[in-house]
Amino acid sequence: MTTTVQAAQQPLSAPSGLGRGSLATRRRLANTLVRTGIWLSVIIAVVPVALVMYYVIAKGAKMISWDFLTKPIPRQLANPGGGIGPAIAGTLLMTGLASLLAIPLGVLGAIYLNEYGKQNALARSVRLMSNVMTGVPSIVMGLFIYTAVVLTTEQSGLAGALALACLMLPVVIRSSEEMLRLVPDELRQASLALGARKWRTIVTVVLPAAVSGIASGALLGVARAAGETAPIVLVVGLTQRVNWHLSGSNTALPVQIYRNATEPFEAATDRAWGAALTLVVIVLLATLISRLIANRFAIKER
Amino acid sequence: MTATNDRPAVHIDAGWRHDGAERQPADGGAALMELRDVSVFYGDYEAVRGATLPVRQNEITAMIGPSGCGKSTILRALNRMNDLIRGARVTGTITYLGQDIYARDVDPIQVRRQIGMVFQKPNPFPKSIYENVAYGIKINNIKGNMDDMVEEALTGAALWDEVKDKLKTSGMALSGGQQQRLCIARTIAIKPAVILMDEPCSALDPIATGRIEDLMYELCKQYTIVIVTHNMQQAARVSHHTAFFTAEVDEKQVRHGRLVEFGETGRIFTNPKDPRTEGYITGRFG
Ligand SMILES: Nc1ncnc2c1ncn2[C@@H]1O[C@H](COP(=O)(O)OP(=O)(O)OP(=O)(O)O)[C@@H](O)[C@H]1O
Ligand SMILES: [Mg+2]
Repeated sequence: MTTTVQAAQQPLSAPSGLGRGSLATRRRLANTLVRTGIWLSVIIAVVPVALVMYYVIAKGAKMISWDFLTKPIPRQLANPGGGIGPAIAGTLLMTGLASLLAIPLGVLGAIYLNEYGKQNALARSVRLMSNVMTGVPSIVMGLFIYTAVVLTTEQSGLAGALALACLMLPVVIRSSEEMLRLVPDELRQASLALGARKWRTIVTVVLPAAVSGIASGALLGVARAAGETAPIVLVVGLTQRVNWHLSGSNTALPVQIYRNATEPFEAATDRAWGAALTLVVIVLLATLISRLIANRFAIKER
Repeated sequence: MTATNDRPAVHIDAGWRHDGAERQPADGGAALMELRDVSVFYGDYEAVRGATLPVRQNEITAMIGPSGCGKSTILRALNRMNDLIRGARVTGTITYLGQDIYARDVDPIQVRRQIGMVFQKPNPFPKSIYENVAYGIKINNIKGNMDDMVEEALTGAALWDEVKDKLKTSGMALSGGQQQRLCIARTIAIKPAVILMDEPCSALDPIATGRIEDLMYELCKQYTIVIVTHNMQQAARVSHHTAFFTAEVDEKQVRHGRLVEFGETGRIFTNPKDPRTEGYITGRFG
């Protein structure tokens, strides 16, 4: 009330104009400075990424052929010819199985943490442990699987998948919980007030609202697993032939990149670039698939 | 929806009398729900102390009072939404059709199925308008033609004409007032006996508020409504009975919400028995 009266009695002094020129010089300067800074950081951040992509494509593309993607790995990496078929098979097999193990487990774990456990002792300790596990170097996880699985059985794709699953799990738990936390409580209350049970609310309201974020988080885990080298070398061993079985030695793309790149021969270096491009494409495809799945389940916000 | 014009001004001796017929006199109607000596605690903090009042069938009961006096708290206690808050606890008895809704063998899901709630902030699901209304029907396994039931609920919430051509668009894309009516449609779709409304108009403009008030009047022919409002005129306009709450400091210097006065709306607004009620409704404090 009072404001209106005042406004009527003493109208605002004529504004000096609403253009940029009316802003104090200091504020304009600060604005320009910050904006330039932001642009610079964006460019500095984008340049290395673009360079990496450029090199991978420029050097890898000429290698890609059906033979390269399917042929066995040559015994002598120095010799031209051969392919990376076994590594592709191993990566798909182990990353795939690891995802099948870790993503459902991780999402269920996140549901427990955010919807049921909340701040109770169990939830807090699980949260703490998964935070710690995210930071555990992958070679340590490999060592764990080596002692627990390989020493009692053999080096195998299964052991590799287990190691990768252990690496993915904390990433999936943490990112999924974060996404579930972003779902507004009002939605849960609305559902419960309509007489829905808790699990029903979670399945029909909470998960669909969070699914695209959960998919992105799960993909981070997949990408991390697909790029691991050290634990694979440790628990999976090496093979020259395609092995679609969970038993017996296997290999993976990062391992082949490492082996070929450390050889001083051109044929090997080329093979490394080809394998690198293949790995990037596989991760890209996984991203696309997860987007498709997420869009299928996500609720449309039109 | 012809109710807008003949709505009485504040301080008129009765609530709404659109149908011309006198409603049942105060203290004479059938109480669908009853609160007896109800206190609600959040942990050790007693937010509301010893409230006793009836909620009468096919009436609108308004709860008014200054901010923080526990209106929302009491309202949430009526359909066990307080169960969702850690440490919240209710003492005393709240009955629905004579049955204690906090009895050991009572399923809170069934309570909420009978006693629905519309929240202060419109909270449609991020699904289509159709899905929003169909949701409650689906989860409660209500039999019948889904399209018909959705149309009926949207019509009942006075929203059908505005959305019938865009049922597949998101409920989030509606205006605030439309969203709130969508939330009402969602609630009446499962045909609860009681609808609890916590400041349903606080985010709405006067026109949207008027529509919701008209709607409440229509709805109370079939449903029993309890509404929390900060808007004195709204309480006077729409309700049949009014409960006035206030926050009081006890001997230990702790603030508790207390029910000061309950009675027929007309009487509360024209002839309050308690000076605190009079002070609040005439705007002297609160
Ligand atoms: N979840 C909660 N946990 C602890 N205390 C709470 C909680 N919700 C409300 N309270 C306390 O209970 C008291 C009553 O709150 P309530 O929300 O019922 O007030 P209200 O009358 O609805 O107020 P308003 O008109 O501002 O909405 C307040 O002192 C508040 O701080
Ligand atoms: Mg409130």
